[in-house]
Amino acid sequence: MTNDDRFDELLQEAAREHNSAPATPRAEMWAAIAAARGKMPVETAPAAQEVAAPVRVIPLHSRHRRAFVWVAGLAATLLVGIMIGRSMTPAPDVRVAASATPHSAASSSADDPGKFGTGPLIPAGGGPAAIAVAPGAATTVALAPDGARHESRAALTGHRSPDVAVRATVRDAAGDAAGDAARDAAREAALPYRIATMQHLMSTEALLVSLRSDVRAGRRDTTIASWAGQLLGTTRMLMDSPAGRDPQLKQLLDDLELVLAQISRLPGAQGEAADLGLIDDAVRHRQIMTRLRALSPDT
Amino acid sequence: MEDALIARARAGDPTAERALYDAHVDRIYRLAFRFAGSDELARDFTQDAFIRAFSRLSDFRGEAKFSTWLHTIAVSVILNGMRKVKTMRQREAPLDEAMTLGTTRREAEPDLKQRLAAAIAALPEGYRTVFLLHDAEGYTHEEIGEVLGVQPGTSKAQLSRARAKLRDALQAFAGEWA
Repeated sequence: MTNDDRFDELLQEAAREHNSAPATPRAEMWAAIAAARGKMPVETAPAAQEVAAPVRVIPLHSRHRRAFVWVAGLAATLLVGIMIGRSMTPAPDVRVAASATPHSAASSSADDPGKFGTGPLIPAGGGPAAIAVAPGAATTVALAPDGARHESRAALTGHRSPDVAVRATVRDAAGDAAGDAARDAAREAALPYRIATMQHLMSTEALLVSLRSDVRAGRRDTTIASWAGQLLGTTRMLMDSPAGRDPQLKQLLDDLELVLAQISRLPGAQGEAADLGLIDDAVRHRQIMTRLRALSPDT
Repeated sequence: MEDALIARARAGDPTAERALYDAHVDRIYRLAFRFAGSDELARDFTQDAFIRAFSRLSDFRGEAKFSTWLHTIAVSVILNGMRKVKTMRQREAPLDEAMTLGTTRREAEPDLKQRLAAAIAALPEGYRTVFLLHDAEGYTHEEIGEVLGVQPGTSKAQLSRARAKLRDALQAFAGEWA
């Protein structure tokens, strides 16, 4: 046997001992997975020594200062997204290609708050927007430029406000094409929101990890409150954007708003232990880290 | 058996998901721990891998074994996670540093296992991945090829280079196996 062979043997032996894992914490991880997926955990004979506990946070040491650049870029991206979204709509009217029955139009995916990740999204606010819905014979409904979103919904469901000028034209063959075009436009308009949201979630995850890491290491960071303040502003912008229409994302943004508000109000260098404990409790109790990672872009 | 579980899980049966989880979680967690060296990171990577796998279950066509498909996702999650960790920590010691340590005086050095751990950590990612999958976890080159999307020959070559680098980094200990 050559020296190289002996070395390889030794190496394999050492490799098997390298980072040898302890017992698998099955129940804890399953609880976190179920929570992240919005399901009730299914119990199947967890090990006796396992106790369900809140999801732990990765103890990373991030460089906080860089986050300010991220936050600034994020806010700029979001603003640009809003501008693009508003500028991409073709006319001051809201054009709705909807199926002949107002009810089916109202229950369509575009007006539905669900599925931020897959469905077309529409710029929020009172500005003009394109809503694409049902295939087949369609009705085009034009709303006045000052018609707010809820007013357009009211119009679609038949409860039309008298101060909203509504003119309806039935289109047959052209309906599908108009619907497709509007869908594409809405999807394009939604892209900046999606990018901004994912960047924001990553940045917020970095802050929370960093805070936890600092607390554990007994470090003090005077900038974390202002960092959280900036992220809080972005969170609120996103809550009012189409991103806030996805129920799962909305719930997460609501929770993030609470936690970020707590962090941004930390007194002094990094706050009292009681304040930090409350924040930590909120993060653990709401399983924010797991939910953040579940919504992060695919790796 | 597993096909039936997958079909049920795909239909949204949480019991089937749990059964799949139970069948594979030990190996995924062990793999994650092997790369991360930390329980918290390993848990996180494992959870993330299963969350992604369950959410993409409709993409699983059965062309490969479910375990291979799951491990492909897990390895991707682990490697991306470790990249993120290292970027944030800015602690990654360059390989040169570990190799330089090998030339210093023996008395002042940590023991072989510690030095080996440092040398493994300092390996380039591709080498380290193949080395840990093969030598630590016992994957075959064919399995590594499937998981990493490379040819088995590439895996063999990377393992050979990884061992050569480790040998260089640990030259000071040559007398122990000579």
